[in-house]
Amino acid sequence: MHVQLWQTLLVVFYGFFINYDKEGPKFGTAQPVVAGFLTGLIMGDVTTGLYIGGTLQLMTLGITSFGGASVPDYQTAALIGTYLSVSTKQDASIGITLAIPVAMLIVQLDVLKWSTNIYFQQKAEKYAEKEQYRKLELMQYLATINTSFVSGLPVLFTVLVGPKIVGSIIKYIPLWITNGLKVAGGILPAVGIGMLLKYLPTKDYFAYLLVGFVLAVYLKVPILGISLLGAAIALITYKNSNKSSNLNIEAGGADEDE
Amino acid sequence: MKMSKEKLSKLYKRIVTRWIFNGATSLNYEKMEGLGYAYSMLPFIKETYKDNPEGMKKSVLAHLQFFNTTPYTAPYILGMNVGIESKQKEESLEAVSALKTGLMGPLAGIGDSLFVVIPWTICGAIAANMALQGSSVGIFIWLAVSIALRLTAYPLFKGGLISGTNLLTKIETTLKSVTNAVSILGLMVVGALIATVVKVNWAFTFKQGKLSMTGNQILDQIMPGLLPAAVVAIVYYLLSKKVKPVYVILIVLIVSVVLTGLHILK
Repeated sequence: MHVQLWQTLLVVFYGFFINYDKEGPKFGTAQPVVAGFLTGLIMGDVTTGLYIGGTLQLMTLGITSFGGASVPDYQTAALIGTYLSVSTKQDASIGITLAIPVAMLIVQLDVLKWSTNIYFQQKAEKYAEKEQYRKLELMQYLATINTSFVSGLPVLFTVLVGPKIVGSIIKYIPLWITNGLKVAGGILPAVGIGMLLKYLPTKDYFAYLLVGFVLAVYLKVPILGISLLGAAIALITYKNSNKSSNLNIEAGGADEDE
Repeated sequence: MKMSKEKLSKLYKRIVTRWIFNGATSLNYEKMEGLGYAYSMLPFIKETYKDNPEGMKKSVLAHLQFFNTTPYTAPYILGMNVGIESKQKEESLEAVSALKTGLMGPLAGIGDSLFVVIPWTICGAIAANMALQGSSVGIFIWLAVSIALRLTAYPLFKGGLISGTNLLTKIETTLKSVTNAVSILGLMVVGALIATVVKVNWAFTFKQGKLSMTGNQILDQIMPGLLPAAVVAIVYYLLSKKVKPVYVILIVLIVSVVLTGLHILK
């Protein structure tokens, strides 16, 4: 499809905004599914955006960055994947496969940001010694711009040369590989789910995992319904645990460890 | 500090707003959120040490030091810091630094699970699932939740301002049961996700006379969702054996291509 100038500009702007929102306001635009949706909206193909964003979101469910660990940047990847598959008219599953290596490459940029921001930190300390507090603030803003580059630069690069390169590469990929990658797209969410299970107290509460599974598989309850039921059970459990801790039951102990 | 109430609350709002929009954007390996912390405190410092340039410098330098916690819960620390420092000025700087360091660990633990992992898991699962069915409703729910979560910064700041450390320990005990209860919700959602989101199709087709069954239909008769559950179990097993997620993803990619090539999966 022919990409209009305003679409390109919006996509690039959003690209720079993603990492800013991720570290700064956290208003949610730095989530893969949101990035896919918004990019799809800009590019005029919401369905593809939702599909790519949703799939990547599921892959990341268990991956959250703590204490400065760098994790694959699936939100920028969702933007890039959506942009590429819409602009080159490829199947959404191709967009997902392209997005995965992008997500892993951006990790390197994230590490670079963590390192280069040291410069602004040290500069700020020097300015503080000299009591030049305006310049300290300037350092903060420059570091912020540096942070937004992490997602902005890959997007800018993609927009400039991506569609051409990707279009010509895809021509040379044999069918059996693209088919295999499509299958992989269906399986990959299992990785995110597995990671999540590792983070949650799965062993203690395995029964609830089973309940959710059964509700979905046999009773076909939609996810929102299962969440509400889960919320109800959580509420009951919370009330009970408060009661027992108020009464100071010594032998209880079921929820003590963890 | 001699300031009118309105001016004071304006100043407080400015600190929190600075933190929300720019607090952790200068993250770096050396002092983590140090620069952002000092930047957010600057309006307060300038007001407090108006006639005391030496004190101002001391305070700014103190707040430029290492700081690292969940951005969501940091306003609580900012509030406590402001509360103490506005009374004790420079004399409190050492105590404030100790408090900051002491609180950032526990607050990160609480903040990460209560503000990040649990809401992101649940909202993310719902939004992603609805997105895959072509609906954007879940996304709007999530955006609303995200903004709401972030706005807790203001009450958290106030809480820090008013209370001392003793309140925190109280919160921590109740939070543990909250975390436990919410984990149940999380696991139920994950259980449903396994069945609905992971898609594995067996390419095998069984034919006998007029009867023809696809591989998936046969497996569904044993138990629906059997293949997805098996895949998740394998992934979970690999991850518990400390195989890096990146490698698991690569394994999935390769195995999928191979098995599809051999017409085992489709």
